[in-house]
Amino acid sequence: MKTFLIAVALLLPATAVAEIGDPPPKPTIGEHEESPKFLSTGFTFGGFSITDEDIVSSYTDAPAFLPRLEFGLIPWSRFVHIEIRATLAFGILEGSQRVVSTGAESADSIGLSVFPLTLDLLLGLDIIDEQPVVPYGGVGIAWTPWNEKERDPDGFGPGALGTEVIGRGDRFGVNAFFGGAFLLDRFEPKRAGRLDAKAGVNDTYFVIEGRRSWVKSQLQDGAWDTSGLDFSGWSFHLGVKLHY
Amino acid sequence: MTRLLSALLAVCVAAPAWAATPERLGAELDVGDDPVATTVLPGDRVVAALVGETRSIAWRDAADYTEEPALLSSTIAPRALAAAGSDTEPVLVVAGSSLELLAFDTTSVPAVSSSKAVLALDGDEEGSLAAAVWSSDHDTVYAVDDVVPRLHSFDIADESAGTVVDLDFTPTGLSLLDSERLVVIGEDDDGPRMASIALDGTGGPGEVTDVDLTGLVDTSLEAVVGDGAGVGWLIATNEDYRLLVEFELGDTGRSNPRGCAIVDGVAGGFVFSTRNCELPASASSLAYAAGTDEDLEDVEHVYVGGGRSVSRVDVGESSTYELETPAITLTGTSGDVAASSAFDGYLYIAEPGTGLLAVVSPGPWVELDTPDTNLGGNADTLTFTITARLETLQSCSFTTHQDGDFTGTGTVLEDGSGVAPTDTPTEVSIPALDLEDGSGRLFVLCGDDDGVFGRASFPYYKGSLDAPEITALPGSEQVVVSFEGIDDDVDHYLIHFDTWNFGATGTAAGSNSTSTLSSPIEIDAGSGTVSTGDDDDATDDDDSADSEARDDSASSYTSTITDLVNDQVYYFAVSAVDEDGNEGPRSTIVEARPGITGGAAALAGDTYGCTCQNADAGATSPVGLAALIALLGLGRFRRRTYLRS
Repeated sequence: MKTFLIAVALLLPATAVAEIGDPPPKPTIGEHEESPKFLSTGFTFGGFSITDEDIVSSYTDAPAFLPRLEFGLIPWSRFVHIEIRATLAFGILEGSQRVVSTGAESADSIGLSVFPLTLDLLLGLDIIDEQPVVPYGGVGIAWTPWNEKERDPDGFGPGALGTEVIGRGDRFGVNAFFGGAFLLDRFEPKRAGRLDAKAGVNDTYFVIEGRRSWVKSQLQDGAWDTSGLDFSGWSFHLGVKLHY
Repeated sequence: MTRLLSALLAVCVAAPAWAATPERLGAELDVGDDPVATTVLPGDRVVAALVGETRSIAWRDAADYTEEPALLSSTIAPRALAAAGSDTEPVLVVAGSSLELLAFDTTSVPAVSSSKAVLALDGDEEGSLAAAVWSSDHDTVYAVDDVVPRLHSFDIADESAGTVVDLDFTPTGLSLLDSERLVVIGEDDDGPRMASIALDGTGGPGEVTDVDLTGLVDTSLEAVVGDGAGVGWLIATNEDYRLLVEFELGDTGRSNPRGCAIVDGVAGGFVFSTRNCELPASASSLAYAAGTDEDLEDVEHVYVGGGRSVSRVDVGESSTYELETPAITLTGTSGDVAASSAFDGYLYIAEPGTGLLAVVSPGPWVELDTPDTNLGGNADTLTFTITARLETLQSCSFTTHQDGDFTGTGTVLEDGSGVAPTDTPTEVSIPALDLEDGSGRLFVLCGDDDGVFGRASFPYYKGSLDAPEITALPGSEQVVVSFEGIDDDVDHYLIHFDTWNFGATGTAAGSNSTSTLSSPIEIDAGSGTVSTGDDDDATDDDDSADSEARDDSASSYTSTITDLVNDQVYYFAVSAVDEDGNEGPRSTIVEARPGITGGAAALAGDTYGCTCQNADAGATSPVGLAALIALLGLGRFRRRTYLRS
């Protein structure tokens, strides 16, 4: 929950940036000419399928539901859309503790919180103005802090987690992704124009994205260590993305 | 008329006539891990084996081979087993760094084990017992120590260590020759050694006399067994041959010693015979089985284990003293061999590397198929199928006994008798009206034309109660047992638990480490979720009858059994008890092994190390925040630059 509030707090100044001193919009589709794109924000929902056997055995509810916030800087968006993007996701897996020596399921519940963070270089093909679909892909680096806490078996979400941390750690890695951004402005061009004029939102997209992560390295005493948990896997996201 | 009377007598007389010579491989029983030694306790009910690298003790009840093997752990680094006690109070002797005695209660099926005593070795140096043997005459266990070469004696009745005799060679095995002597085999730097040790009137070991092994000096002695009447056999091997050697020491009344090699008195040496006595190249273990037969009085056999077979040598008075063929062929390699009593006539063979214990029966091998043994009332019928294995085209006559044992005691059920042709399933139906209410066990005995019987048994229940369904989930030093209530008129439920698989009818007498909880734990019907352990929870009702936490409408039950020992396997079952006190059938037996619990990280061996150190969440990480703020600041700067232009 704390993560979500911080993310919302960060989104607000981004929209405020667009309101300060907006120039008169230039007509493009019918009436307006788009203002330049400098920033992007997005909010998506998806699922994260982790391949680690120990995680899968303890958390039978995988894949995890994974809401995600993203913030991007757009240095170039003409013909080729270039974006440096940071994403922050949050997921909780629910399961049962295991007897370590045998792997047998125990009666004690447990929750695994993961916070996948990425810093991506995104490249998209945006050749024509108001292109309806912008295919894109990219690569990035990933960092996933995690912790395990006791959980109320009858509870739901973060509120079911206890306060005692059973274990915590983090993993570094890389990821590659691909997707498509579907321009929603084409359905409501006038409203899109007004949104651009008032809030500086150039484009609004519905995005579908797939991502493959390889996140299993940890710095231990100055050296990379790949033992322990592995947060590699596939994730898929659907959501809305705004360009400012 | 005489035949008719005889037939009726055969059905009605409790104990059948036995002619017990093990000859037919009946089954190869799972004992959970690789068996390296085996023994049969007095009374022939309990068959034990040392299994696995940890040398746990697995045992099975011969009254019902279908019951799962029970496992016992030992703290004395066990190396060998021996039998002691009496038919009604058998004792398992476990030899290792000391001597452990385990008692068995055989009044129920399966039997119930309990620790009896641990007897330390007498002496200053730490030794290790490699082999043990029991003298029923003196109620004494003798064991040889191959670390500190000694013979130890232990008084089983007094549960105390007795006399210690030093040996001048490393002993590897021993056997009782008769009530006055035992023999110890072993080796020293010069070759094989054998000693005769005299026993006094109370069984105390005394004078040690070297046995002259002339003729066997180039061999090593693998195993030794005696018949208790003055005759012994040993396996002598070298690179060229492997012999079964019969020997006598002194005057035992056998005027014509037989065998391929004999020893002529204590002072004499072994003299080879030309008779056929060469054993299979892998022969390494011996067992002696005595019995009776209508045609051959006092038939006696020595069974030699080795390779994938067990060979039988007829060493009786009228025998040819040759290996009998075909040998009994096993799935795995034959290891230690143990024979039950002459009355029972079963032979057990450990099969190292397979986890199996072979059973060789003297008569028909009987298997029962019991699809449903829960009877609702007198209108029901108990139906089972008997399949007997014996010689081709033969058959055996079977009887079904209630409230008896596997020797054929108890009440014979009229509708439970018939003839079972070999390898042909024969269906048997017994009206529930003939059976007593509650839980019971039926024994089925099937005798062949020679009057040799095979046996099997199964439990049944007659009443209105069903078996609840149970689950058991382990935790750290605790197990959470859950079960669904049944709709019948249940007064309370019983949770049975123990460290062995007590089966459908065995007595479960387990307790937790603090002895605050003992099996069976009584749970009142309608009491809902009950924690039977003291978990210091204010809402913990601890079975209190007046607790407000009780839910009288509950149909599911959860009980937490605390203060258990981590890494110890516990078995659980639950049964319902009606208002008249009749206990219903038990649920299936489930097992749980408490242990240290953890999440995925603990399973993965994750060290919990965190590059982020104090970060609970990425969003609160200063690194993550700084990156986001930098991105937004850069965008704002660029936009302002654009607007100014």
